[in-house]
Amino acid sequence: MGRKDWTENLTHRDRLRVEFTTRKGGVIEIGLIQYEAEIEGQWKPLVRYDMAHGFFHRDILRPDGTQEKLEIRYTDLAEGLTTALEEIHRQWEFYRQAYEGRIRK
Amino acid sequence: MTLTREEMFKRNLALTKKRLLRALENPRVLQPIVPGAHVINLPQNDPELLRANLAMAMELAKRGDGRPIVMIPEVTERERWQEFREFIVGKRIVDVIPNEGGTCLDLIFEDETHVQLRALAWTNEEGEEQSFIDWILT
Repeated sequence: MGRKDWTENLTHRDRLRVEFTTRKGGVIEIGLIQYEAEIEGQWKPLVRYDMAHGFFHRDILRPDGTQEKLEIRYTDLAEGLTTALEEIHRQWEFYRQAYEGRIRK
Repeated sequence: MTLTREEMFKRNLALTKKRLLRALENPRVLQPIVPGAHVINLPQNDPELLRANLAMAMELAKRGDGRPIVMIPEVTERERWQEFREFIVGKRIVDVIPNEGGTCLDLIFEDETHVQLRALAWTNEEGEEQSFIDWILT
């Protein structure tokens, strides 16, 4: 079993960290899909999807280190991946603004 | 015209999504990506995004965090089909497992590799639209 990790650069200030778990060349698990934004000159993870703890879930990450966890139901890897990427597509600005708002509090 | 951050984000995310879903069907898609790399999309029919992405690659190269930069061209449906054909040539299928809704198939090969198929459609020699799942089952 192996892991492959890399960064998908979406803009100069937005990127996705991706990690797939592979076996015999095939992808068997989504290790990580994490949206990161450059905020105040530093890359910050804002939302993370992974299969740690035995289930696929989303963590919304806050500047104080706390996080909000939500399980995501899926029937196969493609559905799980699609759900994660579509949520990021819809919500990325909200995640960033919410994070920035919490920094200012 | 310069792309806005929002447009660049959404267009790149669409290309990334397409490629990651392809990687689940055909793991060879991941081969050019070295561990830890910065990946940048090279779109086929979007010169505006292509220019923006090349500028982003140059900026990454200048910033020099030491990680390799890998630029991946967008793959058309025809190339995608060709890629899949090359992958399965010579492989013996030992099992075909449909999901509950019949929208997805797992092909299990004798060498214990497997491929997941979803809504892969093409036009046959008579010009009829067919889905990959129909073709496998007939």
